[in-house]
Amino acid sequence: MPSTHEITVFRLEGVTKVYRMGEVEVHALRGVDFELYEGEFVVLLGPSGSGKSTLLNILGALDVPTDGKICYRDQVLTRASANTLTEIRRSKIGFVFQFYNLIPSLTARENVALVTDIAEAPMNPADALDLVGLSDRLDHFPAQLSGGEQQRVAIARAIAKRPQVLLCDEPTGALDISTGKLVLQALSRINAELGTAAAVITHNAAIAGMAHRVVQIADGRISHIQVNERQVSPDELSW
Amino acid sequence: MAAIDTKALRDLWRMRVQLLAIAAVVAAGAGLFLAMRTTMRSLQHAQADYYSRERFAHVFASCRRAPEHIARKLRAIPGVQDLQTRVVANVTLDVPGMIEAGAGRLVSIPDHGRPAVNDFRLRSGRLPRYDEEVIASEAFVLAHDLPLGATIGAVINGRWQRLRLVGTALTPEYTYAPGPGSIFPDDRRFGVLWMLRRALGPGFDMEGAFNDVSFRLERGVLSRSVIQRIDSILDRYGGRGAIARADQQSHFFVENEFAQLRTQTVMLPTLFLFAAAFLLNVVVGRIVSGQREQIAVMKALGYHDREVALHYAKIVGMVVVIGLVAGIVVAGWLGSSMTEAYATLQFRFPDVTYQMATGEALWTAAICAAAAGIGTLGAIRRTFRLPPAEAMRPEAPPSYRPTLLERVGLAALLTPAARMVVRELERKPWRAAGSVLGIGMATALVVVSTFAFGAVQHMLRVQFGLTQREDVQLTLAEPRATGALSTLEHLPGVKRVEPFRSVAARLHAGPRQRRVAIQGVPADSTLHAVLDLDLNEIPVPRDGLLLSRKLAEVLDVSVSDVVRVEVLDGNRPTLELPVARILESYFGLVAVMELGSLCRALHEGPNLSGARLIADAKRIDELHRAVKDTPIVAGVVSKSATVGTVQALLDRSIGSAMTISLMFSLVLAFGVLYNAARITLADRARELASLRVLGFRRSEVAGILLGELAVLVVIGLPFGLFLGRTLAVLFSASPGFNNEQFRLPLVIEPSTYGIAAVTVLAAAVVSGWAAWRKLESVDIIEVLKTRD
Repeated sequence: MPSTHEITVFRLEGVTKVYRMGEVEVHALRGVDFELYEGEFVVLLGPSGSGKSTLLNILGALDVPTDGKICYRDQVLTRASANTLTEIRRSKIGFVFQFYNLIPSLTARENVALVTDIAEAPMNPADALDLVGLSDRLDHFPAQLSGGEQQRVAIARAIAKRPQVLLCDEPTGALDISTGKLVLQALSRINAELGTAAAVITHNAAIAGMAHRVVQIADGRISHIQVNERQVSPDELSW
Repeated sequence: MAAIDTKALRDLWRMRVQLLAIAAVVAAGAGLFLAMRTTMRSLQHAQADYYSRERFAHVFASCRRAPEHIARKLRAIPGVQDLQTRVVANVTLDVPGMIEAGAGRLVSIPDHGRPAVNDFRLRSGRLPRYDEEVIASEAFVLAHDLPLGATIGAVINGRWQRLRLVGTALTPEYTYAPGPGSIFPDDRRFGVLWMLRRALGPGFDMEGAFNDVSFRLERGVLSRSVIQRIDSILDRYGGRGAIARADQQSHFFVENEFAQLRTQTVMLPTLFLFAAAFLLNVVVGRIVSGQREQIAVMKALGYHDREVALHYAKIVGMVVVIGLVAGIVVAGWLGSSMTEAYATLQFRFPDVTYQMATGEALWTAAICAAAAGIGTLGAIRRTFRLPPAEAMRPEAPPSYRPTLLERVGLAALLTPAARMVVRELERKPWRAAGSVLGIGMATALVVVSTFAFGAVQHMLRVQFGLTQREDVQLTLAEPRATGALSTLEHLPGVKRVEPFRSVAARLHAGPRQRRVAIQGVPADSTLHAVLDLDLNEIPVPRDGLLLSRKLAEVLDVSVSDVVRVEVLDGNRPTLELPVARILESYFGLVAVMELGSLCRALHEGPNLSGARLIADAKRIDELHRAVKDTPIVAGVVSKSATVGTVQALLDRSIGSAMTISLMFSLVLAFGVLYNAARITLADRARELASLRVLGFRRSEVAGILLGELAVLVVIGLPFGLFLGRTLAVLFSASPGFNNEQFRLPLVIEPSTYGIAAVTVLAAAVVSGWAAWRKLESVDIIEVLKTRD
């Protein structure tokens, strides 16, 4: 575990989240305390509906909690304005979504440029794509890429701004095992080489082996936190 | 280019047909608005320039005969800047190549120099030097293709004289020039001839005297006060009541055309811009809900709400800019051809330059931007409000419920496909209402732009079919005793003759007054019918005055009210007459009396100013030739010729306006319907693809898609016909179409509704077909894979 671990990037205290979906009220989080440290690789594990996506959204400044406290380093985000949240997302956080969420009308390079256009000291989009092994797919549109390739474009898009934190929501959820491994390798490499803290949501327990810490979530609460002494390389994973 | 702008461009390209349809509607609105405004400005500019160069009079007066020294008294009236006395006379003309007699108005010009007031623009040739030389109005010369040097015969002082054409001219005074006894201009049968005062004076017993005087006033002087003084001076010389420029026939006509143009400038483009706003609302609303996830991603990646909103505003902006640029191009072409057409065909302004000021274009751009803003504000605000996390979750399934039809127990009547259509419409009532409104507006536009055609035909039928039943109308040079009638009866081919008397008078009712010609019609008249408000023929009562609806309206009198009649001819008595009936007439201000009682009231024996004739059609040329040799006749109007001229005039002006309007309506209807179809398709692509997977045939799926469109058309069409009628009511009541010169009746022919319905149905069929084609090309598997 790198020495930088003890510096907290995110801190959540007693966070709850209730939202309405159609005509149903959903209690997604019921009092969560959690810290994310610099440079660490965390896997958030739990069945679907357990609240892990909501937790990730709150960590990613996409959403604010209904109750409780959230801090990014020394900055309290609990009642932060939409503008402040946007600024945090814009400069500090990289997102990878389960369904990639690429803009279909933009090529791989342009999807990455979407972020580098507004970031302060970004990578060259081509370099970011090179980092995920897509230097030969720069000018392909999402529809011309496989699922794994699309997800790697999404990762390149997330890291091109050189974020402090990389948040990934089921990054392999829509992929087969070998493609999934490619994606995980890319994430692992970025965590190790760039020192970017990564929080990865999954319901695939096999991935947990890659993490420094594994956080189990069930029914809107953290049920267990496990610290891995040794991290397994993505190649060795199987599911 | 920033990646987000690349996205904007690609989105524009992907939806190009839909967006182009909207841009076309914007272009139509902007183009019409700009073309009409700039045309108006260019024409008004030309008019002001023409009036000031030719020193067009502010006040016009005529009298029987006033000695020249009276001019000094008139000139001394405070506010008068300059005046010009003239001798003006109506004569019968013999024009080479024309069988029937023409009507001419001889207008004197100073023996030396140009008229101080009411000058003319010399268009060819030179000023007269000798007594027999004349300049003629350009339109008259062109209508007869007369070369300079041609001779024209004219009856002066009771005998034929030969006049030689030495030049052609234009004047604002006779831009619109109906001849004596006619209400429509006819360039072939009526011309203005200018000749030297010294040549004209003796022929009409006007040596050292005048019978016409026109004034220019000092800046800021009101004509009303000057007119009173002029009338008081000219009264003892047989003054017929001075009139202000605003009431001068030709000026009024030009102003009225402007008023019509103004009405259209407001009404037509408003329809289009309203439609464009609505289309943008629907389409941008659809884009925003379709790109819910993309918006969320942009926000998650750190784009500010305003940057995302700006992104969509740019897409809208591009559509508006394309529409606007196309509109400006269209306006440049349409405006310059409209200006050209108005200037040369209608107004005969000598110097017209079409100008499109930058300010006008900017003003148009601002209006388009405002329309787009109003249309898309809601959708763009939604991008603002959409929280990124919310958008990452799939949208909750839309809530449907049984439709009204089903709730009242008629479910059995609907097939499942029909239920889908009806439920969808009920679930998005505002969008459906918007589409209905859009279809309605397209329909209404056709109705309002074509109904005038039928209404004018109706006016002509009433005027020339019901009211005027003669073949030919003769106007005498001056009123004569009944004995003259036998002269007219013996003209060749004449089968029946009916006398009439026309006398200038000023009608007073309280503070209101109008100058009119009172028509004396025989009680048993068969050639001139008087119509009540329901267009039924009524007998002319022996006593009292009959006023047309509009005249009664401007005098604010009704039946049995008493009107003070100040006769301006003959013995000039002042009479108190009760209003006996209100009658219908679409042209002018009409006052009618029974011929006998009119003559008695005037304290004169049986008298006539002219006669209406029924003539043998085979001998009509013979009749015309004979009239030329009858010096007591000053004017002859053949009804069929008038109808022909008017019809040609209308076909030309209204015909082209109608073609343009129809084109624009098609653009509007297609824009609305195509977008409605495409949006339905986009909204329900997944659903329709699922049905195909379940084994529905293409035609069945198309039924659902087109069914929705059909329902919208079925509701929108009658609504549009109703809306069109409402707009037509406003149109026919607007000052340009309801004034003292004419009233456009609110008559909407069934064919007008038919044309509107066919136009919109044609657009619906084309849009439906285009949407169907799109549906055919949809890849079922692809659609099902996308998470929409």
